[in-house]
Amino acid sequence: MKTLRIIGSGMKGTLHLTQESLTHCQKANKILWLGAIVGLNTFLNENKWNHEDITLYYENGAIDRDNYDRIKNKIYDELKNYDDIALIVLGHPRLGVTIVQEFQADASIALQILPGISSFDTMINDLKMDPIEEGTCLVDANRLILYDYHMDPCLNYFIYHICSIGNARTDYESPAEKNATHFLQEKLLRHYPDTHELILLKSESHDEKSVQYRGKTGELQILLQHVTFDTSLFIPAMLPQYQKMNMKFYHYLMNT
Amino acid sequence: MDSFDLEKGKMEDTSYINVRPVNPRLMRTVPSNIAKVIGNFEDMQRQTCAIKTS
Repeated sequence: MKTLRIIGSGMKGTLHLTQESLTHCQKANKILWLGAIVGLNTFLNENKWNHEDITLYYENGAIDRDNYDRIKNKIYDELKNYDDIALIVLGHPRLGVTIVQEFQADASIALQILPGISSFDTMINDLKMDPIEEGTCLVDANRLILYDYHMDPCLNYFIYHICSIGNARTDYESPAEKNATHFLQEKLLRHYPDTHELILLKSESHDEKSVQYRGKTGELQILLQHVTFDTSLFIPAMLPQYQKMNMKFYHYLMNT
Repeated sequence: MDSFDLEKGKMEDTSYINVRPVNPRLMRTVPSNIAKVIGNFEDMQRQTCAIKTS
């Protein structure tokens, strides 16, 4: 059986690669990589590992599905020539990587997933928050709008893929142009007052500090003019309402 | 276990990053379960119609 190892690079180039991931890279016959993973090209060359940057398979303005199919077909082609392939992707392979779910469904491949430091990890660090203190929800913008999920304003929200609202194309050079931001604004205004604070957040990277743009729910469309493919929207939790408290549990808790 | 010097890569020329997706979106915009959601709803509607007409 052929082996595919999908490895998360973390968010800060080679500095976030784990020792475990590198051991897996060493076992692979060829390493493919995708995205701007700073230092990786130099590092792989220095170690004389067989590798190829496949970022060019991800085209600006293409339908996302077509990009993923190109990447998958490239991996299947390589698996015809080699028994063991590694693919390095940015962040954590379990956070928003469709091809991981698809390879998982292919019983003919032995799939191994190696975790990386995710954008969620770096964002909670940038925001100096503990996500379970108030509770936190991670959700994709398109699924949130499409399925009209109930939102609880007492939880923190990280909304992913705000660069592609209602847009299946990978317009990474000018994401704001076809971004249907009004759908997200309408959705948020059904759950939050228009004065609720929002933070458009870009994590710290290899050469740049964390960037935060602050705005209000009522100004979301202005805020999202700064959107890029590496920003997410953070919605801070509101204080829970006294009227909704479970008083029976409160008294039980206080008497323990 | 071998140890690796990951600091060396920090000096890499990064000028290419301006013309490439720094962090590509790798999740499909249209959810994979959409057909199932719509299919379930249509099945339910068909069953309701069948009950009404019987």
